[in-house]
Amino acid sequence: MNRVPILFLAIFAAVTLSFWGVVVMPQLEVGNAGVLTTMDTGVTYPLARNGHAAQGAEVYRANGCAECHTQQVRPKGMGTDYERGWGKRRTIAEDYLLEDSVQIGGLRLGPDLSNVGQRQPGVTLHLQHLYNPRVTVPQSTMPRYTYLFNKRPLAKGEKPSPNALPANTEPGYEITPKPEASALAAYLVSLNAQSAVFSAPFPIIKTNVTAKAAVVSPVK
Amino acid sequence: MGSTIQNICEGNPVPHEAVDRSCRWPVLFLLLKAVGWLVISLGIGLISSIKMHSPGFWSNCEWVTFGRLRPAFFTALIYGFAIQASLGVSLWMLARLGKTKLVAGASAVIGCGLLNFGVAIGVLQIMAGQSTGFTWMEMPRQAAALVGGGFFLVAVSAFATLRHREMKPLYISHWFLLTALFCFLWFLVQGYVMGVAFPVRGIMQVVLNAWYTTGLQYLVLMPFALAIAYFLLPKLIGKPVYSTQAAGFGFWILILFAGWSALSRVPQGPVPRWMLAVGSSCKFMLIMVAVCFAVNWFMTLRQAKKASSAEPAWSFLASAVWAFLAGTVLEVFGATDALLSRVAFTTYSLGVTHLILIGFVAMAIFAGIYYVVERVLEDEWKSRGLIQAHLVLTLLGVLLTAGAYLFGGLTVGPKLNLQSGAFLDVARSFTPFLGTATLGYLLLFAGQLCLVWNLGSTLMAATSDERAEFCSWCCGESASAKKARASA
Repeated sequence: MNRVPILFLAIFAAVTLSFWGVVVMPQLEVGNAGVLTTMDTGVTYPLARNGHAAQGAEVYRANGCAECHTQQVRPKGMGTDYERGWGKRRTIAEDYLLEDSVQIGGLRLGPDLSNVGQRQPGVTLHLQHLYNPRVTVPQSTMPRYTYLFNKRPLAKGEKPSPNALPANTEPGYEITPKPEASALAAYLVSLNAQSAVFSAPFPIIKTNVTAKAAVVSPVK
Repeated sequence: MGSTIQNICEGNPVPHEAVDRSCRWPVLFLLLKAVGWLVISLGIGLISSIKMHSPGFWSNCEWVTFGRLRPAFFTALIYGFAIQASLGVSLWMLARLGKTKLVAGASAVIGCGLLNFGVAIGVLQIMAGQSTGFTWMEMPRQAAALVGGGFFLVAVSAFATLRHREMKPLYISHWFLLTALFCFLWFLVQGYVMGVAFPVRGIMQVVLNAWYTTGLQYLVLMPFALAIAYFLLPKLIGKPVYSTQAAGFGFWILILFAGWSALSRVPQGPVPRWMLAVGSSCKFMLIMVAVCFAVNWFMTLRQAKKASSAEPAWSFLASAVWAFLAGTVLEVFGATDALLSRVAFTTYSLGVTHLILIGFVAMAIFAGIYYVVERVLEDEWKSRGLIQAHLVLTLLGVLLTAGAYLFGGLTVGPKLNLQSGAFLDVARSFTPFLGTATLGYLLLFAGQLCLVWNLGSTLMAATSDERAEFCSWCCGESASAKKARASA
């Protein structure tokens, strides 16, 4: 290996080969996935998010929420994602089809959020949790996102505005969400990857039918 | 058996002193900026680490929220420090190996300026909330273009120096340097074109990101560090590397299988199972890279009369080698089903990343810096005590951060992945480990301050004549100097 052009060509060939295997082949297999039809209602899946929730996805990305939260439910038998109630089925390639920037995450310092919209559909609860996670979950280790809210002390007897967070969030203050906070909450509520699709049927977690009983004995 | 740097020279070899002098300013320029970024990155890393276990810390400022600081830390560490310092040491190594003066040094200096401008913009944009959201490529595209352009200009100087080499045979370090120089541009362009400018759809973004992070780690940063290790080993020990064939075998395994091992980083649900299977098998092959290096390292030491050196670079290089061997083994076994089922989504992978990035790559670069700066400045390091302090603090820092993340992953992993109790218990179980990691960051930060102080004072002492000359040229001769000259 004493000639630079030959060495260079060898490196180029080796990296191109792995590029073909790691990027091109998967692109041909899962990259061309299209929308599906759900098995129960027959509607198209996935549907695009509404504009407000799509803006929230940008807030989610900008603040690096994926540094602590994942958005992936593993297949049954891998981990205990089902048992924790994080999803009824594993996540599939089509779940991420319409995302601008897929925020799948790799560390779970916080719970998985693939289906958080289904688990906690209330926008107010999400807003309260973003303002001060210890209000909704006393032991939470999540940071506060106070910069997504406006805070104003209330005069004696003054009532907070209608879009303010509930009084127990921080007594004596009017806490109103900035547009970013509302968008983020709308995004979190929109997270719901549980549609019944053919390629990822709901696994049976518990059953009373034993393997032995399920075997049909041959007719004599 | 046995490769030597002292091969037959085909041209007119330039003396070492002249080579060092030609490299002086471009190399120092790159190294100084890189060390600056190292301190900045570890400062950011320290704050982000505190925020991991103390959620109330500076929570009302959006610029320093954890989700922005963590990517900013890795961006500053990888692009600002590791890549830039590797380039600085590489330019000097290429000139020394080729026994030629540095060619196109001006291009390297301009490139360095562009690269720093790019990293600064990138880090600020990430902290302002304009991250792309992809691991290790969070810098927006404009910043990445500046970084790529800057790297290209420095690489021009590197390739020109390689082309004008007087000693034609290539050494082991050349192979790794060529790989790193080519692959950085390849991965950066491909990652940003396919991930940001014209993004692939859906889950393929995650696969592409895995390809990028793997490429940066195994085909850019690791080759840079291995090139430094293979260069310094014979220099410090005084014996040629034991086996060029073993080094060559390790090299081919690395470039053939490292890219494929990206598939072991894709998620377990949404992609076909063959990807994970191929990825973890290819990753297993990487153990051979560590084995080949270990054979060369230990056999070369056995040949030497004394298996150590009085040079300050030695202890750093030896620590880097141990971190490389441990990090590779932990990374490879972390991708196997048996361990992955326990440590998935925990801090385990963060621990391995710290061990490889700081324990191996940064330590090898430190060895390079301690070896190179003395030579290009033609002066010894000002303080041996500060070098010792830098070594001890960095070693302890790496052990505490990487160790805490690794043990955290192994301890909390079963709770997260094998049991189904309340998630809050899992999250809180991480806290003591995250606190220990903060202590590690504190030591790492303090250690780098020793390096900065030592580098600064050595540089000031070595360049006092030049600075005086520059001042008199800039401000004109002082009255007292004129009087002294007249009386003489």
